[in-house]
Amino acid sequence: MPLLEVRDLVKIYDPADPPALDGVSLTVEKGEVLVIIGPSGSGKSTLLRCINRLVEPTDGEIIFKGQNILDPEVDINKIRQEMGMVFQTFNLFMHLKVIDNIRLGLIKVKGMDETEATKIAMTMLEQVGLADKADSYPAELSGGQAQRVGIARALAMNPTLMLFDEPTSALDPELVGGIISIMKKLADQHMTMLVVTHEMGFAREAAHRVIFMDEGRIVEEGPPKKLLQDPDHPRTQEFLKRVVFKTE
Amino acid sequence: MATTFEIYSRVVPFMIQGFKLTLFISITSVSIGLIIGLTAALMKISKNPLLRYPATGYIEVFRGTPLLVQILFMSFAYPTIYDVLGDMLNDPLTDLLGFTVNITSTPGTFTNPDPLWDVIIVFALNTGAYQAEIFRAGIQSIPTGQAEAGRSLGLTYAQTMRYIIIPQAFRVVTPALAGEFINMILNSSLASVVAVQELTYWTRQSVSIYYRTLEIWFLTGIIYLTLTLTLSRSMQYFEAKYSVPGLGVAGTRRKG
Repeated sequence: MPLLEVRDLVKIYDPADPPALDGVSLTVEKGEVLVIIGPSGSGKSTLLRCINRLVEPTDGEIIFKGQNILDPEVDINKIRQEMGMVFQTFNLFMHLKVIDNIRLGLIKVKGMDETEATKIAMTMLEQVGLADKADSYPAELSGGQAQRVGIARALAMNPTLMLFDEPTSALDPELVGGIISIMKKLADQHMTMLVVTHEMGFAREAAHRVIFMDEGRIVEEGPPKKLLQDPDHPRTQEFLKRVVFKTE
Repeated sequence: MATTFEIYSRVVPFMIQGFKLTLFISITSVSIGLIIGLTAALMKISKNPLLRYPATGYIEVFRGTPLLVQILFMSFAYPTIYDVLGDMLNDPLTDLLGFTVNITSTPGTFTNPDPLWDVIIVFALNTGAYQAEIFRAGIQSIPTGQAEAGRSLGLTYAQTMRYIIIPQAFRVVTPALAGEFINMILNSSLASVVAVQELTYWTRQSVSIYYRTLEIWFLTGIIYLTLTLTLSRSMQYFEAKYSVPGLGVAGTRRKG
């Protein structure tokens, strides 16, 4: 049984506009790294946000660990604990120190006491190399540091699945590498990851499978070698030509 | 003719008494208004129309009519309001609390002989409406990503509000809230029109006894000014004390 299965997902924001998601189906196996690429407005981010229901899908099914999480009976807050999310704009809690950003979920959601939460938070910060920033405020961090805290905050909840929503798009080019190497390390530890990104390097080296989306649909999917170097679909070829030309 | 000093030494004890009541009215109204304001703001941003519409209606009514009219309305509608409230509440409250509750107007009166709490209720509702709009603007100024990050960790909507959005919104709205507190202190002088014995009431009494208009009103002005300056200074202190980098007005000023 796959860890996550999405069936015929539809999202319509405004009936006057074309649907943001127009019948998307995919599966993610445990330990798999799935990278989603595509032009802006193709529905990649909407898809990712539907999976933890930050965006409510209009139609379709999302089966996570054998349970349809769109069922009104489901406690979505329980499900979200198992899905870590990393945002393009980091979204660190501005009024809390770095360590409290990580402790908040542990204490208020998982019900840990402060000592235990502090221990886990410090371990996470050490893993992303920011133990010395525990008492800083988010506004005092560089973009790269902030995103590493964002990753540490999500990982501290010990999720089964990690969702990355363009984690490097808001970073200065020289800071991208640090985030990518943390994500690769995670992939090596067999974390299940769903990554929306424009980093073709990461897709090539760390992904098990790559999906190309356009206009709310999955156009093509396959192993990174095949999809990134020899895609079948003309729309994929056109997109990759532009992206590769821009970044390399 | 008495010197200014002699006049002041005679009126100051009344002024002090009035000042104490002014302080009491302001602090009580602002505190109740804070609770009303935050509740109304949260109701107004709710998706549920049963919460949103009453909050919107309340805010519009109290921001859309003069405070003086609200005070006079409460004052002269007093027998009706108390009798209607009594009809509605006396029996259920007596059953609920186990002792006799008797809300009623004093027979043969047009206005409440002791209108202090009437006035405090009007002030609290009035400042609550203004504070609601301040809080609503503050809450909505926090980027949606903050709430999304909270929800994605598994926090409930209420927890996200309580631990993430409201603490940030408070820092953003501190200056506006300080302004509203000062307004409330100054507006409390309107209580004198229904004979609540606060600072302005005693000033008017003193003037009518001693006919030393200029000196006495000057003294009152100084007292109000001292009060509002103290308040705005202490708000600035709290603003700086609880400021965090990158958030709110104080947060954008670098320390040191």
